[in-house]
Amino acid sequence: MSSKAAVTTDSAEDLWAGGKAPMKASYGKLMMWFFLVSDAFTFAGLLTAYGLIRSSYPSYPAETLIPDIFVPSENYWPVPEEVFTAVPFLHGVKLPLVFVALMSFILILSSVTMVLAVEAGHRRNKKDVEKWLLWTIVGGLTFLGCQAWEWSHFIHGTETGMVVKRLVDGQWIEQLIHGANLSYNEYGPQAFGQLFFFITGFHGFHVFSGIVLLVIIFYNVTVGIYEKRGHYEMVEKVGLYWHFVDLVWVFVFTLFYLI
Amino acid sequence: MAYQEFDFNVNSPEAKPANRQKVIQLLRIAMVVALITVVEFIFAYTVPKGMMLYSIFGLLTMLKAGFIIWEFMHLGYEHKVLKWAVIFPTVVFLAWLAVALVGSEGPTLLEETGRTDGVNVVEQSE
Repeated sequence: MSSKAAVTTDSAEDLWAGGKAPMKASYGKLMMWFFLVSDAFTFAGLLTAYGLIRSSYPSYPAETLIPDIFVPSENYWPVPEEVFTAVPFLHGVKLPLVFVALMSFILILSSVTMVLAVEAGHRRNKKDVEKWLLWTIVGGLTFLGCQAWEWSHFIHGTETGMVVKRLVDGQWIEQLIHGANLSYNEYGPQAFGQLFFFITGFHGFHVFSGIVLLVIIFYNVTVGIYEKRGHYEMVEKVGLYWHFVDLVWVFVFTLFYLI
Repeated sequence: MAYQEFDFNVNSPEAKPANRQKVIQLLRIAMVVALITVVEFIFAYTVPKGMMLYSIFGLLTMLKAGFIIWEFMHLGYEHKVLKWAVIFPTVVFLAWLAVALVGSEGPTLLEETGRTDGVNVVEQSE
């Protein structure tokens, strides 16, 4: 390759050095997409595992699902309306799915602010990028905080708990259990708690790493790295990841809290 | 990324105001996604559980996912090859897993393990 060619294609990292960007996308953006596809496979595997185990358990008969006389059992897959009923500061008030719906809105909202940050990056408006990135970070942290509360409530459980039969020293005894961990939970079969911890935990970890990425690019924007580089494409790439996290939550929401 | 001319007015908001049309369109899409969530929420309360309700939830979820991928992640405006490179494997993989595991394997397990009548298997064998 002559030095002349290298000089004429100086912009944008030689457009992948061949003078043409494959699929009309930059290298970084394309790799982010491929990473997201592989990550989507991981989540697809986890969520179908949930679907498989869920469909291998019977549902509660309709006549047992009357709110006040409902008794949880290990033999049926739990109904979300009876498991996720708590809202912070409203102890003892049963508000099915209200808190998770709020969490969904927070995540959707943070996706919106992320889109606005990307849009501000397109017109190279540093101040706007900073502003919207900060709001996105706030949204992400709020979501994580909500999830921490949700987990803590799930682990501690309700005051009523559930009565289970256990074989201890050759004798069937009845035990009252509260809350959930990896070996039992008061909401239903063991697998329910395990799947809940694993899948929402894996998603929460994605939110966490998203926040770390956002903080890094927020720093870079503030010190003017992308200004010097001439474009804010990094904001776009991290934006892709952030929307993906929102996308996964849409599926987690449906599977865990609706079906 | 195409080469961009240096802009002296980068930091002055008057120089490059927000693209109003684009912002309004994005906000509209966000509203639709939020509204679908509200509809799901209402359905969860009012429609009795069953295959019918689950299918509605499935469709609404796909719709939401579509909006997020197409508009927020901007995939709808990418090059054709990139679009299909992302969508095709994911959809095929997901559809296969859903049909094979959730549609067929799960219900078979339900029968084979004898959980169908809601009686604890361990207890029953005792």
